[in-house]
Amino acid sequence: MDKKKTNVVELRSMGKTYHGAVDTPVLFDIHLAIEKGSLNSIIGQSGSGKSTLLNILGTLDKPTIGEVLVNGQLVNNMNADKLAKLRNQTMGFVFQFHYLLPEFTVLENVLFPVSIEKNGKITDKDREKALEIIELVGLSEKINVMSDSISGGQQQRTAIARALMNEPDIILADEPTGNLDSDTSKSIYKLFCKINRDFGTTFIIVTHDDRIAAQTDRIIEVRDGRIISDTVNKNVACPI
Amino acid sequence: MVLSLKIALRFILKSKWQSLFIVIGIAVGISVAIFISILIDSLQFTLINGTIGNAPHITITTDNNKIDNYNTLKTDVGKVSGITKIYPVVDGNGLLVTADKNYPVLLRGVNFDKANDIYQIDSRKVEGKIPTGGSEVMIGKDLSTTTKKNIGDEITFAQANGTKSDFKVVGIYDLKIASVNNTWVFTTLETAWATLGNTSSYTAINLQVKDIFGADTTAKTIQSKIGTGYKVDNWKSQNAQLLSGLQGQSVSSYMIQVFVLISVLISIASILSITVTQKSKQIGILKAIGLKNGKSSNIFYFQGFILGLFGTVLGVVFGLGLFYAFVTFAKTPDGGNIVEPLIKWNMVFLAGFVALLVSSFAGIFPARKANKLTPIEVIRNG
Repeated sequence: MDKKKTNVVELRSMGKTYHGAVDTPVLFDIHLAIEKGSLNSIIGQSGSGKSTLLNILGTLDKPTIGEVLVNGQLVNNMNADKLAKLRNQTMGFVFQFHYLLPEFTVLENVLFPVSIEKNGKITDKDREKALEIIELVGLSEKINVMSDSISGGQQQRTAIARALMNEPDIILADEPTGNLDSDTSKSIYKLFCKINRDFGTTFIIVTHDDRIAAQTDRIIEVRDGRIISDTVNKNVACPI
Repeated sequence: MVLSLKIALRFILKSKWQSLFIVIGIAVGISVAIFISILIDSLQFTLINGTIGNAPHITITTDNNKIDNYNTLKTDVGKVSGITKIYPVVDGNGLLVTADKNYPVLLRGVNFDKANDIYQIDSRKVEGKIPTGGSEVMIGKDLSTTTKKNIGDEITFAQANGTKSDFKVVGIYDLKIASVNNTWVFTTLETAWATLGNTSSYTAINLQVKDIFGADTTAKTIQSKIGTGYKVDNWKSQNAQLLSGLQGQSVSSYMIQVFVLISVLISIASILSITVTQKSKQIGILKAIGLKNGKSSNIFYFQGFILGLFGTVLGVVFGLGLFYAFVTFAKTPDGGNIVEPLIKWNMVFLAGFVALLVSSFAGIFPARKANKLTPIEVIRNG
């Protein structure tokens, strides 16, 4: 790895245990640094801890032990509101189940990150930017359609557009094509790759599909809560 | 604020039927509160009007039943705030003597010009005319029926000292109060003076006040102003049972309204709490992309306020409509109103304001729930 590159997120000696009637340790002593501008995949079987790892990288979940750094800043002790602001300004999320707000149109969903940042006071410039991103994901004709009236693939594209809206340093995607057919999945990954190459946005994609992982710069494999391999793919081209 | 309000509005509009049912639920509760409030006020107004509306609220008398300085007293008493009418009377108890039976009556001498303000005798005269002097008297409808004395008939009034006077019935009135209709015999001041042996002194000064329920306080003020040489009575001390009935009615009305509002509060709070669960995905994802806890809570405060606002406005309209229907359709056998409508608008607005406050307060519970919701709960549970 090129050590001159800066890290967007970093985990140091991180472990996670779910506390309940019985304590369930899910991640053990994770050391991981995600370089700026890289396209990464986390693979592993169901229950391996890959989604928990992504959630901790995205500050949605807290580690039991160890440190989480975002752009070099320790976030372990930040309160919920500070973390929310940090996520709003540095991260974008794409989830398997899309999680759009069905009460709002495609355009309004895409505008949410900036709407949250500016407390609803959207400018024309913000709207123009949103329209450009929507065009990038190929949904220009759907801007005023309610988000629950479009297909699954279109919903996921909307979620990607939303994730891009605040020009985040990193986009975290958890099984983003888990609910989509293979053609749509391909087009989504092609889009990820294009955004990564064109805008230098860092990606971490959780997937259980090795073929998708093979098209990323770095493959991190998790098994039983531990990183068992961390492979760099050189000269990966975006899928056609 | 703007964002939370916008999201709250969309949440409400997205679930149109659910929102409509919540609004109707609030409206029904509030309409009951408003209806009960107006009904009780109107019932009390009708009852008071019927019982003491035409009767003196405060009476000034002396031990020897003689008031010679009416004009001085009138000036002094007139300075007390809240007095609407002052009128002197000359009263004398006696019996109406008939061939079969004697009936206890009160001969009341009044200045008919002034008395009309109080008794509305002109409009309550059912037959005949107003006495103008001489031996002319006016008797109540009920006394006329029981004694079978009608216009043009002679009646004999006997006093305790044995004096008997003959009068001619020239008019029959109906003051809508049985005890008055049965016992009061109206005549002019001059006839009363001549009959009772007084010369220009009055037996009592009657007063009416603006705030009927404050009559006792006004009476005390008058007493302190005119001194202990006079006896100042008020209707409250003379009608303790009626007063306690009215107070009981008021308390029960407030109790009903409070419980209705509590049930409205619980309903809104529980429905909005369910809404938080319904919208947990949305709240979770909004928090994931940066929405702060306070703003997520505001969404539910706004929902409570908006639903409460519409429910309150509709509830006030329903309540007034219900009362209007009651007044229109609930009639006495002779077609009169069961209650005289009295809408205290300040009370209606107060009830609406309290209802709105309660609805907004109901948002606290779901808001706290939304505040505690973490994005990871939503993401982990799909």
